[in-house]
Amino acid sequence: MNRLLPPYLLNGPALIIFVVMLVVPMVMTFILSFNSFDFYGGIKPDYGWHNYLEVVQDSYFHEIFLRTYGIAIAVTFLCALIGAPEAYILSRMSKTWRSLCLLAILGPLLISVIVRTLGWALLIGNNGVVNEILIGIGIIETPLKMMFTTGSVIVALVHVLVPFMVLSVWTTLQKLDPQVENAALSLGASHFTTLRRVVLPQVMPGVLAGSLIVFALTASAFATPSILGGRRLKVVATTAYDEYLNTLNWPLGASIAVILLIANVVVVMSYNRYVEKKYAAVFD
Amino acid sequence: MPPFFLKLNLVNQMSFLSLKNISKRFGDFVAVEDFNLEVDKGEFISLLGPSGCGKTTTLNMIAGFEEPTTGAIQIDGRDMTHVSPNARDIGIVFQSYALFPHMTVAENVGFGLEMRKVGKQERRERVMETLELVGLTEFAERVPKALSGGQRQRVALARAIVIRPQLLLLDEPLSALDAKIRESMQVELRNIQRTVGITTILVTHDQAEAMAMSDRIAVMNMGRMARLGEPFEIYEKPGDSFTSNFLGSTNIFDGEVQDELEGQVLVNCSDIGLHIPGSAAKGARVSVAIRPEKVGLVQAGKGIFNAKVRTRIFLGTCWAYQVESDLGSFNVTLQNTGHSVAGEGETVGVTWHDDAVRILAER
Ligand SMILES: Nc1ncnc2c1ncn2[C@@H]1O[C@H](COP(=O)(O)OP(=O)(O)OP(=O)(O)O)[C@@H](O)[C@H]1O
Ligand SMILES: [Mg+2]
Repeated sequence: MNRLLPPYLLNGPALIIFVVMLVVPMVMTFILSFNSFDFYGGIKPDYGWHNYLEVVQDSYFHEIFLRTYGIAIAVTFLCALIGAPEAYILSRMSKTWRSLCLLAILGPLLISVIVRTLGWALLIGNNGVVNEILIGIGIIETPLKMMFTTGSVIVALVHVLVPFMVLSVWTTLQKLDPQVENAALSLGASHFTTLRRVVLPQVMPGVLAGSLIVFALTASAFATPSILGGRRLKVVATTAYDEYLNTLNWPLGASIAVILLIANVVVVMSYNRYVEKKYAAVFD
Repeated sequence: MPPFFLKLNLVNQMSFLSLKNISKRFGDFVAVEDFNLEVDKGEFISLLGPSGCGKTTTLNMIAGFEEPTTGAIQIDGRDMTHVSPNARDIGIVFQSYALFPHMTVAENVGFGLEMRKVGKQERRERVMETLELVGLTEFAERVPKALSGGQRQRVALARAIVIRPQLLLLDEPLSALDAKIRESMQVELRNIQRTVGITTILVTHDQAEAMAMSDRIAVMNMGRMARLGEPFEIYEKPGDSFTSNFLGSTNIFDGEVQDELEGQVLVNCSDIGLHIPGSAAKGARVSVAIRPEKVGLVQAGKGIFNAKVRTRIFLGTCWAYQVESDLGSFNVTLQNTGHSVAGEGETVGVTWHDDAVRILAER
């Protein structure tokens, strides 16, 4: 028997699923994005760049792309700001407390994204818990508008994505020689200086890797922006969805999806290249 | 060592570092107990002991990374027991080196000076000066990852001494190096320590290293100080069987004191009578020790007693014998003089100088 056969046979089922579920739809979406559409005739099997030109030229889409990447950058930044210290504190805890806190941090990942987002809606809606309490204790008269704002989308996304940052930073912290901190202390550095000059630079690769995950997940996030952002606060993913299901302009939706995919791949790859180049000489 | 009259003078002065009755418990476990040590300024002391005997713990308490459960630590007359590590002015070379991986060699060495707010110009000068001292001038701009183990170790040393600390702590700094480099680093380290004149404490479990480098050695066993003294003194008069065994190999026999003369005792070991300098009560059971290199082999019948050669191993500078006698089996090391010596299976006479034998305290 051919020695190469068994590996192919073993890979076969996964390969078939991969091709059928991912490659075929992707290729079909890609082809679809070049077709054209009109309200009376539906999708026409012709090919051209008109969908892409529409997205690139229309300021309506510019705003949506800018908003999406603005949210992605803000969420990434906040996750780093919250997740990195969180991971550091976690690594300093005693074993029992660490498991408890880890559970609390990973909690959001265990809950369905829809349920979790609806939970946020219950909290921050006009008749939500937060507004009721604030009105109840007399701090405000009329409810604060929190639903359907960029802020609420950002907060909810940070809540889900911060675990990825924590885990990523934590992995790098595990590799840190605890004596290195002692070395800095013994050389006269304060605790804060030690953190800033010695610990932080060493966990930076972890922060950057975590940022990559958070950024990619935010830029393509759908459920949270669609529930908390509503119809008016569109991001790229919800726009593509609307083109498909409301306008029924599938080719345009497909081209938006393709552009989002390409933009994400470009951002992620160049960022990764940059990080690797920067740290390859220093860390193993 | 300072000349004796200076030393006498120092006796009245307070010692530079003093550990007073310190002990450290981790839960129920006693890592260090009742540890006392007085170190003079400029002295080089080794903490020597087997793995897990509390050497690093002791060092960590001096450095301030661990607080002693009881006892006090004084440096230069100031109580330091609860002072935080960044206010102690101590240079430390860690077992793992603990270099800052994201900084160049020059930045690593300059870090302590930066923390002391030394100006850029002076900092640069002192860093280069120190790198020259450890022979790493060409490597100033490299990161630690691009250095060999020995070079990293020297960076760690440079980083610790550039701040001119009042005290230098070395935690098994040479253990990761191979034998050849280790020996040359020992000499180098000792020379640097002499040049700079820093009071130094070296932790090691290598007795040869401790002997080669230290003014005094503190032998530790199970969290306690077993013996403190100058290398020659504790090698020759170890006092107890632990120290004797730990500092080089030792043949130990059990015996009974039969008679006590002036300054000498007659000990009966398996019906062989040995005259040994020292004193002990008549009838007491004692341990008798002799080092392998102090035993001689002569023609059968001409020694103190006869023995049969069981194994003989050639080690280059010497021959290592294991012989069998009424005393049990014991080791003999003979200098290689180029002449042929007794072979395996032969019967030989065993001899030694009476004053080469020691009586050890019972433990
Ligand atoms: N944080 C700790 N908690 C509990 N036990 C500890 C702790 N640190 C050290 N010990 C124990 O204290 C004892 C002494 O440890 P220490 O590190 O001082 O040994 P050592 O003499 O440096 O040994 P080695 O030569 O192997 O480095 C060991 O038995 C160790 O298990
Ligand atoms: Mg140790």
